[in-house]
Amino acid sequence: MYSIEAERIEARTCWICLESESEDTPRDNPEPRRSSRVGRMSSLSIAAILGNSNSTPSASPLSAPSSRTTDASAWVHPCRCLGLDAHHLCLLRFVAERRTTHPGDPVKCPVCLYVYDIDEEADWLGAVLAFGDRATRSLVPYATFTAISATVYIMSTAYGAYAIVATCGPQLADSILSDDGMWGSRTWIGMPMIPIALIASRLDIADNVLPVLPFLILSNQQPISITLPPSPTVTLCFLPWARQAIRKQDLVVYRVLIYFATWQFNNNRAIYKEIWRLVYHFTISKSLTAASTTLHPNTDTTINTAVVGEQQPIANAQPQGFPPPAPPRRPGPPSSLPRLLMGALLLPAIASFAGTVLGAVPFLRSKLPSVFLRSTVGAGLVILGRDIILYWDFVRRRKRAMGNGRRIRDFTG
Amino acid sequence: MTEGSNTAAKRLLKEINEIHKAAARPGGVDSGVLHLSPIAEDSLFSWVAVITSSETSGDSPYKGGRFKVAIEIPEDYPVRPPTMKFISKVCHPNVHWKTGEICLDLLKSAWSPAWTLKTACVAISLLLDAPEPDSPLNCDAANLLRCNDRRGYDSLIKMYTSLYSETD
Repeated sequence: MYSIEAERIEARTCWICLESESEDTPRDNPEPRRSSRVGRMSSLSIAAILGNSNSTPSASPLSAPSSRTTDASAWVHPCRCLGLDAHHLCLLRFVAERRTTHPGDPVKCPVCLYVYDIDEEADWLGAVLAFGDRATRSLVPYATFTAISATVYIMSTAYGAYAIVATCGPQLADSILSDDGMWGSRTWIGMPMIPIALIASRLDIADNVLPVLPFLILSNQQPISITLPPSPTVTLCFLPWARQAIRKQDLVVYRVLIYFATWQFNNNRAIYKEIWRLVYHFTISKSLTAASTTLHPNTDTTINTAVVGEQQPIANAQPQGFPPPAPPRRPGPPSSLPRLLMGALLLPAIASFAGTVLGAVPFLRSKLPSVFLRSTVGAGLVILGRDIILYWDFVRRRKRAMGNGRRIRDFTG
Repeated sequence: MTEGSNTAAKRLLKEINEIHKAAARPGGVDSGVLHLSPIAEDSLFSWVAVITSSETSGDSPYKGGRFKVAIEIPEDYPVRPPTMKFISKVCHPNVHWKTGEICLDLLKSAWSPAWTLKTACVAISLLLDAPEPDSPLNCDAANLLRCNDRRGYDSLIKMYTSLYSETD
C-alpha cells in the first residue's frame, strides 16, 4: 500500500506504543533526530529501567548519565524491517519482558526475526541463575523420585527393625540388630525388604520366589543344624513352605477343610469315600474336583463330565429351572490395597501378641522356649484359625445361597 | 500510575483512534470483527469484542454466529498480551466450553507488541474456521475432527452456533 518513499515521508510510528514522531510529548531537551540506521542499539540495563520506572529518565537531571542511558524520546531502528521504528524506551521494555519470560533466548524482531544487537553489560549472574534455574527444573522429577524412594526406604528399614523386635523378642533382636557397628547387607537390604516381603506374602506374585528366599539370604551363615525345637534360622526357612501349604488349596490341609465343609453341606457317601482316597492315595478323583468347584466358583478347574462315571451330587442339588444364585465371594487375597497393606504390616504385631498369649501357658512356654518360635507359631495359628472361620462362613453362606440350611415353614395358624 | 500503565493507556487510546478511522474508511470494517471497544467510557483496560466467522465465501459452520469476547488488558499492555475469553458459549476444539478460554499461541508465548487488539481479534475469528485439533481444550469437538467426521463436526457446531449466538 505504501511505497518506501511514502513510508519515509510519513511520520515515524513506534510499533510498540503506536505514537508517531509528530505527536511526541515535548521533552525538556528535545533530542535531535538521530539517524535511524544506527547499527548498534545502545541500551539501559534492565535495572536502570526498573529504577526509573516512575519518572521519565531525561526529566531528571540528577540521574548520572552513563554511556548506556539514553533519552526516552530517542528512536531506534533495530532490524531490517523498513518502517519498523520504535522508541528506545518502549523497545527496552519489550527486551526486558522477553528477558524475563524467555530467559536465555536472544531477543528477536517479531516480524523479521532479526536478533537485536543489544549492547549491555554481560549479565554473568543472570546467566548463571538462568542456568541454575533450568538445571533445577530438569532435575525436579528425579529429585522428587529420589526423595520419595529414600523416604520409603528409610521407613521400610525402620519398620523392619520394629518387626524384628516384635517377633523375636528383645534378646534375639538385640543380637540381630546390634552388629557392633558392622552394617552389612542385612541392614541395608534385608531390613527394608521385610515389609515388602510381608506384603508380597499376601499375594500370589511371590509364590515362586519366597520358598527359596531364606536359603539365599542365609546361605552365608554357619551350617544349619536341625534341632528340636528348631532354631530361628530353620524356622525362617520353613515358613514359606508352611505358607504355601496353607495357601495352596490343592494341598491336604485345604482338601480336608473342603471335605468337612462338603460333609456339612451335603452328607454324601460318595464324597466321604473321596476324602479317604485323598488322604491315603493323595489323588483327587474328578468328582471331588467338581465338588470343590461348586464350592469354589472362582477356581478354574475344568470338569470333564464324560470321564466322570458317577453322579455329581452337588451339581444336582440345584432345583431344576432356577438360575444359579450369585455365589458368595470365596475368601481369598485381600480385596483392596488398604486391606492388603494393613493386613500385611500388622502381622508382626499380631504375631507378637499371639506369642505372648502362648507364652502365658506354662506347658507351651517349655515346649517353645524362644520368643521367636512362640510368635511364629502364634501367627500361624491366628492365620489358620482365620482361614478356617472364613471357609466355614463361606460354606455356610454358600449353603444358604443354594437353598439348603434354610427352610420356610408352612403356615400353621 | 506506573509508567507501564501510562504507556498502555496511551497505546489503547491510539488503538481506539485506529478502530474509528478504519470504521470510517470505506471497506475498512473487518469481516471477522463486528465490534471492538472498551466496555465503558471510563474502563480503558477491559474491552469487549463481537467476533464472527471471517469466512465470507463457503459455508462455515459458524456462519451467522456472533460471539462476544471479553478482553482484559494488563497494565504493561503492549509488552504483555491481553487475556481474551469468549463470553458466549462457543463449541470449538481450541475453546474451553465452560470458561471460554482460547488456546491461541499469540495470546501466550507468541505475543509481541506488534499485535494490536484488533489484529488479535481477527486472529481469533480466523481460528474459528481453522481449528487446531492437536491442542484441544474441547476434546469432544477435537475428536470429531481427528476422526475426520467433518459432517458430524459441522452439524454439532451449527447446532451450538444457533443455540448460543448473540442476537443483538
